[in-house]
Amino acid sequence: MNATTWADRSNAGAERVSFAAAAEAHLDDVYAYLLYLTGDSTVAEDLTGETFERALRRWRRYDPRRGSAKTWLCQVARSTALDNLRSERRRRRREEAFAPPERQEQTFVSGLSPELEQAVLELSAAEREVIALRVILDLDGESAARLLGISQTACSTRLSRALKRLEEMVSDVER
Amino acid sequence: MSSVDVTNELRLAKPRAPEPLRERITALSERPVREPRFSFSRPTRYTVRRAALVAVPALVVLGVGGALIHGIANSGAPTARQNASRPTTVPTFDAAAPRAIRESQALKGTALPPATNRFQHYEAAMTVRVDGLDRLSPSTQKAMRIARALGGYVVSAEFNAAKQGNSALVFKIPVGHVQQAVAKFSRLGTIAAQNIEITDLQAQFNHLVKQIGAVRIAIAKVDDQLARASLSNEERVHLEQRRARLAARLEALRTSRARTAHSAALATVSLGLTTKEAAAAVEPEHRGPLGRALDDAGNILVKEAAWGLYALIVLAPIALIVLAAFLVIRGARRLSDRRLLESS
Repeated sequence: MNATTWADRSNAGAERVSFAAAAEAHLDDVYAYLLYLTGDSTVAEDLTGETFERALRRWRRYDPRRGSAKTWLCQVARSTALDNLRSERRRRRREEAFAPPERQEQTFVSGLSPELEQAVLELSAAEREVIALRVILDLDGESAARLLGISQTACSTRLSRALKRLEEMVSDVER
Repeated sequence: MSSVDVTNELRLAKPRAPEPLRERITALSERPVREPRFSFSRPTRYTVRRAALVAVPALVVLGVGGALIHGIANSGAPTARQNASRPTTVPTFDAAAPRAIRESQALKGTALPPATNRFQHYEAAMTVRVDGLDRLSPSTQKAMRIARALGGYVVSAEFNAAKQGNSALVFKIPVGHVQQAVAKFSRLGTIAAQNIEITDLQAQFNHLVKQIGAVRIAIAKVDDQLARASLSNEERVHLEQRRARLAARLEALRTSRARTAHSAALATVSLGLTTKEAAAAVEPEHRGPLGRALDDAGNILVKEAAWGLYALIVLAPIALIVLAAFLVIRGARRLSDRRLLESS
């Protein structure tokens, strides 16, 4: 049974797209989200691959009435990224016991001015995440808040603080 | 640079997935989505709300339907519902009936006659209302005289002539005269209630007789064995012990038989004399099958509601604990995620 037939059979009548169509439509969104969340393009690529593998395994759980495929894929991506961040933190702690960590040169988004790119990288992952969801992916406030597990007000506050910090940092560099 | 400029620049420079990654994901999405052979997760079409929408009315229909079926199945005539093993209870008098009818019934002496050819325990209970406190004492004395005149005796007597006087008397009256006694007691005033209970003792009596016969035969056999001269001392002692045990058993059985016969010979009549006005009680036995069916169904529904409430009381704390644990774990997880993201 291929993806389309399974999707059609398991959700007759609902506006459900096939996994292939969802992957094609939202690959850039998931990659962009993970890139902003991790701040590292190599890690983002790996995590994007892992996210879609997970999503393929869990595709039957996706319910289009509860949210768009983009939101659902972002939820899977977030869960994958958090797992990765936890394991990375454990690994770093182990390694730091023997040798100090090496500062790695990170590659981020091409097309951004060097000041803005540097400012974005200065933000915390939580701030970059909300910018990715609300600005880059253009998710509505309710979906973004649900994905982050916070209230809409908290989501708006976090976004405005992150943008203000970005603005301040870029202005400081320009001066 | 303003916030608007920042967001515009960020939007314009939206990252695109590299080509190798795109190819990898395209290849991945061509893989078949496996349908699990066994899945413990519910299909998306079965939401909790939908399940509740079906389950709640189904439970209500089951509960009410079950109660109605039970009510209809048990709505036969009251006599049909009597259990044969139970004593036969004959409510021979209707307290809620009009006074004229009650008086005419009393005068007719409606007490069920005892069987003359069987051993039966006969128990009658009646309440007679007398007109005023001044009639209570003479009526009580007259009831005692009636009992003695019919060969019976007073087992207990209680007399209370307070604001609303009453006296409670228990008589033992020979079964042959019990019907007469009931008729005479009923003439002491107006019968407010009357109840007769008959328990058949014949089978019990026959069984005792059979047992006595068997024990007698056993004693005779032991006596025969004891008459033999060839018995050793040990055997003789053993047989004599057995005979003593059988004799004791025979005595006990005879006592039981005598008690049964005595119980069957004397009827117990409880007489209550009162000056209170009878309450206008609604007699359920006079309702039709539909009324009885509804009454039974109502009783079952009350029981079902009680069980539901009991289950709720027992399960609610457990559900609350599970919910609280779930919320705490989820909250801790979110806090940990937030800290992790803020520190990254």
